[in-house]
This record gives sequence, structure tokens and C-alpha cells, in this order.
Amino acid sequence: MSELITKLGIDWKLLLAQAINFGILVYILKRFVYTPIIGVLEKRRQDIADTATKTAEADLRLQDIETEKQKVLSEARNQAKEIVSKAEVMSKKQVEETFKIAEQKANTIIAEGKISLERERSKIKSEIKSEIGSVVAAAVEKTVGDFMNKEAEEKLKAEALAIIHQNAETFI
Amino acid sequence: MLHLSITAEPLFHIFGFTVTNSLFSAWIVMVILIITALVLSKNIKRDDKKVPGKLQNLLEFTIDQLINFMETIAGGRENAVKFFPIAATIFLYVLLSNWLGMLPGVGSIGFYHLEGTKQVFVPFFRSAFADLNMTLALALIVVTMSHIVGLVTVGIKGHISKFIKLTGPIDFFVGILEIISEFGKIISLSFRLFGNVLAGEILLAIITFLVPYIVPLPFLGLEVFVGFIQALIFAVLATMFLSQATEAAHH
Repeated sequence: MSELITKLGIDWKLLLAQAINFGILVYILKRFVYTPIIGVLEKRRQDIADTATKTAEADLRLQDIETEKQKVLSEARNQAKEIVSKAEVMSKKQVEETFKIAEQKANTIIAEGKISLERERSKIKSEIKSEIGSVVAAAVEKTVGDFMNKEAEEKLKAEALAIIHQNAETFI
Repeated sequence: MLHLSITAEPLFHIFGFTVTNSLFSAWIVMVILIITALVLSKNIKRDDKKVPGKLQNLLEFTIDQLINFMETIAGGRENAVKFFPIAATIFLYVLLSNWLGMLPGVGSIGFYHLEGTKQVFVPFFRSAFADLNMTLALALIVVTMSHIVGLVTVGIKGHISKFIKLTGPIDFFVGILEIISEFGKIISLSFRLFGNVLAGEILLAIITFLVPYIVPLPFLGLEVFVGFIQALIFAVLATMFLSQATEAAHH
């Protein structure tokens, strides 16, 4: 065994020297190259992962917003429908009311018109009556005044007037 | 004359410590890697909001791809990131050593040393992992680390129960096999790398010795590939052993 070790040139001092060499090399490379580079790489990896999470969150929020939007929209639609139907009902009512008022007004106007017409008519009637009376009186005087005394003349006048008064309704 | 040697040759001594040519080459590789790391570190923007430069982009891309690749071996990003420094350092260290070991001058520039009555050629540089000390040290580090990781993650009881199982004769035998396989890991890791690099060196030396021009080129290309593959295999196996250690014993 020892002969083999000598033949292969194994020397514990050289082994140790090589081990130390390797240790130094690992330390320096780790300190100056690996750690900074791996640090940058891991940081970048983390950033990418963070961005991915943020994107997923944003997507989720976007979805929420979309559902919220749909909700608000449907609510608004419902409200609009309600408002329109209310307005329809109200306008119908108003139209009806207006019709009613107009009808009432028309009725009162008609009634008033009738009354004033009636009044005018009776006024005209009485005017005509008095006019006819005076005409008849004048006619009686003109036709019989020469040959009748005053008394008879007055009597005739009164009779004629009475007849006119009685039949005035049928004349006019 | 063709120079072939299984062991690394001593170059000089510092306070009684023998510096071999492979250790010397390993130091050069280390210095190159350290200087590169320091230069890169100055150019790295640590703020992830800033746009990285071309060099940093390449580095980031490479490291990201490597971690993704390691994830499939280590079974999870956490493990991959945790063991990345060790695996990546093994990869870079082995790769650069293997490739620098193929440069002209390595194994051919040296001096003659009088050993007894014989003149012995000693090259200044030798591919770092063409020395069993180097590969064995790396294998020992990986296996020891895997046990430390095991002890820390699954606890002393959990880790030891992977090897000493008293639940039945079959389990006990399986435990013994596990213990043997731990030594097997060290031997296979170290000898695989050592054998491949040394074989490559010998192959190149022989081919160049026989036909110095043109012919060695395909072999050189092959060795570039082998150097890469061996570095990758060592790093992947290290990741596997380390991540295996984080798992609790199977029942």
C-alpha cells in the first residue's frame, strides 16, 4: 500500500496544498463573481415573479370592475325603466285630468252661453212686444181714430195689445 | 528523448515544502482565475435595474444556464444555487488546467537535474490534474463536503443511519456497501480525472514524438474535448454527491 502511494506520488503535504488552493479559489470566485451575479439573477427572477403576480391581481381587479360595471349598468337600466313607466303613468293621469278640466270648463262655458242666450232672447222678446204694441196702437189710432171716440179707441187698443201679448209667444 | 512520468517532479523547496511542477501549474491557473474574477467583479453592476454590459450579459446567461442545468441534477433550484459555487469552481479549475496543460511548452520546457549518475529532465509545467495529489485532493474535498452537507441537512442520526443500518441483516449489508461506495467515489473521481489527463498528455507526447507536424492536430482537438468533458463530469458528479447527501435515508 505504501509502495503504491509512493509510486503514485501521493504526498499529504501536496494534498493539503491543493485543498487550500481549491478553498481559496472557491472563496474568491464566490465572493467576486458568483454571489453578485446570482444576486442579480435572483433579484430579476423575483421581479419577474412579482410582475406576474401583479398582472394576475390586475386581471382579477379588472374582472371585478367588469362585474361591478355590469351590475351598475343593469341597476341603471332597471331604474330607467321604472322612471319611464312612472312617467307614463303620470302623464296618462295628467292627460286625463286635463281632459276632465277642459270638459268641465266647456260645460260651464256652454251653460253660461245658454243662460246669456236665454236672457238675450227674453230681452229681445220684451222689446219686440213693446215695439209691436206701439205699432198696433199707432195702427189702431190711424185706422179708427177718425170715427171712434176716445174711449172706444182706448178699449180697442187694449184688446189688441192683450191679444198680441197672448199670442206673442207664437209670433216670435 | 521522450519524457514520461506518472508522478509530478519537484521543482524547488520553500521552507522544507516541496513545490512540484503540477502544483506550480495549479498556482498559475489559480492566479489567472483570481485575476479574471477580480476584473469581472469590477465590471459587474449589482443593481438589477441597470442594463448589464455585454460581458456581464454573457456571464449572467452562462451562469443562469448552468444553474438551470444543475437544477436537473440537484433536483431543485435551491440545491443548485447552494452547490453552484463548488461545482462551478471545480469546472473552471479543471477546465482551465486541462486546457493550459495542452499549451506548447508544458512538459517540454524544463531543466536537467542530476539524479545519482543519471540526468533527469524536469519540466517547469505539468498539467495540474496529471498529478494524483491534485485529483485526490479535489475528490476528498467533494466527498468530505457531501458528508458535512449530509450531517447539516439531515442531522447526525439521519446521516449515520444511511451507512449503519441495524434494521435487518440485508439493511446492514446495504449499509456496508454504502460505506464502501463512499471510498469508491473518492477513487473513481480521482483516478478518472487523473487517468484521462495523464493519458491525454502521454498520447499527445507520443504522437508528437513520432510525427511532429499536422498529425497531432486531431488529437489535440480530441484532448480539448476530453478536457472539457472531464471537467464537466467532475462538476456534475460533485453536484450529484452533494445533493444526494441532502436527501434522507431511503427505507
